[in-house]
Amino acid sequence: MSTKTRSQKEIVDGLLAKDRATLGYLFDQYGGALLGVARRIVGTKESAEEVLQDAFLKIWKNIEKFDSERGRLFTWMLQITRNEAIDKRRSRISKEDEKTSSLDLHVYKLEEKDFEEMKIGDIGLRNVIAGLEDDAQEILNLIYFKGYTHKDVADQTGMPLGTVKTKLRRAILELRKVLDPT
Amino acid sequence: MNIQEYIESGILEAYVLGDLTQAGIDEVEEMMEKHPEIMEEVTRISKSLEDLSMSSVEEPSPLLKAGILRRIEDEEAGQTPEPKEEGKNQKILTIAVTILGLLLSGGILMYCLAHAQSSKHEIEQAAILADSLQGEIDTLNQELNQVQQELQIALDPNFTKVPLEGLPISPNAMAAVYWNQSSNDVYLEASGLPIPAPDRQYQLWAIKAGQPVSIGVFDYSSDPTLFKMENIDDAQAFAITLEPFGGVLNPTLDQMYVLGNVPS
Repeated sequence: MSTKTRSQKEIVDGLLAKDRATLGYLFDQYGGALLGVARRIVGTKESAEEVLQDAFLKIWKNIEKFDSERGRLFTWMLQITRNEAIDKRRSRISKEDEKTSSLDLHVYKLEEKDFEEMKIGDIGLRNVIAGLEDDAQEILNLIYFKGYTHKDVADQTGMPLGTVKTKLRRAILELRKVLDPT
Repeated sequence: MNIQEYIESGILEAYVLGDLTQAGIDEVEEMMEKHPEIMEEVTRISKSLEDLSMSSVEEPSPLLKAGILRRIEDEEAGQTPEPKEEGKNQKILTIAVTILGLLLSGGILMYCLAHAQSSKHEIEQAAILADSLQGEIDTLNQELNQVQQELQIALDPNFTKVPLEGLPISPNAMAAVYWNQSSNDVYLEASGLPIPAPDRQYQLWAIKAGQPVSIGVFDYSSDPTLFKMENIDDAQAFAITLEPFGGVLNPTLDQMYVLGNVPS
C-alpha cells in the first residue's frame, strides 16, 4: 500500500464526513486483521467475510458513536467485529445442536498447526504463546482467539470469573513482551 | 481496592474485549476519567490486542472490499463513487467489479424479463382458470336454483306425485311425475330409467280418456333432475316409451318402460 499512514483523527474525521475512500483505507489497513479475528471465531473464511461486511457497515453507520477520548479506533472496530462474529456463531449453534457449543470449548495445548491455522506467522509470538502456562494459554485461546466471553469460559471451565480475568491479563502481559517491548 | 489492584484484576482486558455488562463499562469509564494510569493501561491493552490481531492476519478475498463499498453505495444511493485515492490495481479491480456488476445486472435483467414473460403467462393462465371457475360457479348456481325449485315442487301440496313403475321390458326402471291438477303443470323425474341408445329418446305420455297424449320428449339424465313437460289436464295415467330421436305421434307400446296411474 503506497498510501501514507493516516492518524486516527484523520480516519475518524473522514468517516464522519462519509468519505468512502476513508473506509477503503480502513479496510486496507485493518481488514485482514479483523478478518482473522472473525475467522477464528466463526470457523470458516466464508462466514468470516460475511461478518466483516456487516462489521464494516456498522462501523460506517455508527461512527458517530465512537468516542475518541475513550479508546482506540481499532479496539472499537475489534469489538464490533468480535460481537458480530459471536452473534453469527451463536445463531448458527442455536440452529444446530446446542451441544456443539460446549464441544467448541474443548481444551488442548496449541501446536504448530494451530498457529498456522491462526495465521500467527511471528515465531517470537508463537514461542511466547506456547510458553504460557497451560491454563493461561487456554484462556487466551478461548477468549481472545475463539471469541468466548469471560463468563462463557468461567461457566465452562468451572474457574471463578475473577481467576479467568487475571489469567487473561497475565497472558496478555506476557505477549506484550514481544509485541510492544517498551 | 487501590489502582494497581484494579488494573491487576483483569477487568480492563474484559473492558477492551467488550466482555463487560453496561454497568461494568460505566464503572471502568468512570475510573478511566478519574485515574490517568487506568486510561493509560487501557490504551496499552488495546495496543497489545491490536498488535496481536495485526500479527494474525487473514487475507481477504479480492472482491470483499469492493463488495463492502458497493453495499454502502447501494444503501446510500445518490452519492457519487470516488475511489480516486486508490492505486492503479485498485482501479483495475474497481473496473473489473463494475463490469462484473454490469454483467450480473444484465443477467438479472434477462432473468427478470424471462420471469416477467413467465409471470405474464401465469397471469393469463390464472385468468383462464378464474374464467373457468366463474363458469363452474354459474353452473352450480343454476343447479342450486333448479334443486331449490325442484324441492319446492316436490314439497308443494298442490302437486300430486305419480310414481311410474317398471314394466316387463325393464322391471327395475322407475320414474315419477309431479302434476299440479289445478295449474296442469307437469314435471318429470326419470333418472331411474336405463341409459338409452344415442339415436333414441324417451317420450312421456299422458293417458287421457283412454288415449295416449304426448307431453314431450326429454334427454336422459342419470342425475336426479326435474324436467318441465307440457301441461295436461284430466290425465288418468302417465307412461314413458323409448322412441326414435325427436319422438313419435303414437307410442311404440312394446317399448313402454314405465307406467303409473294417477292416485284417485
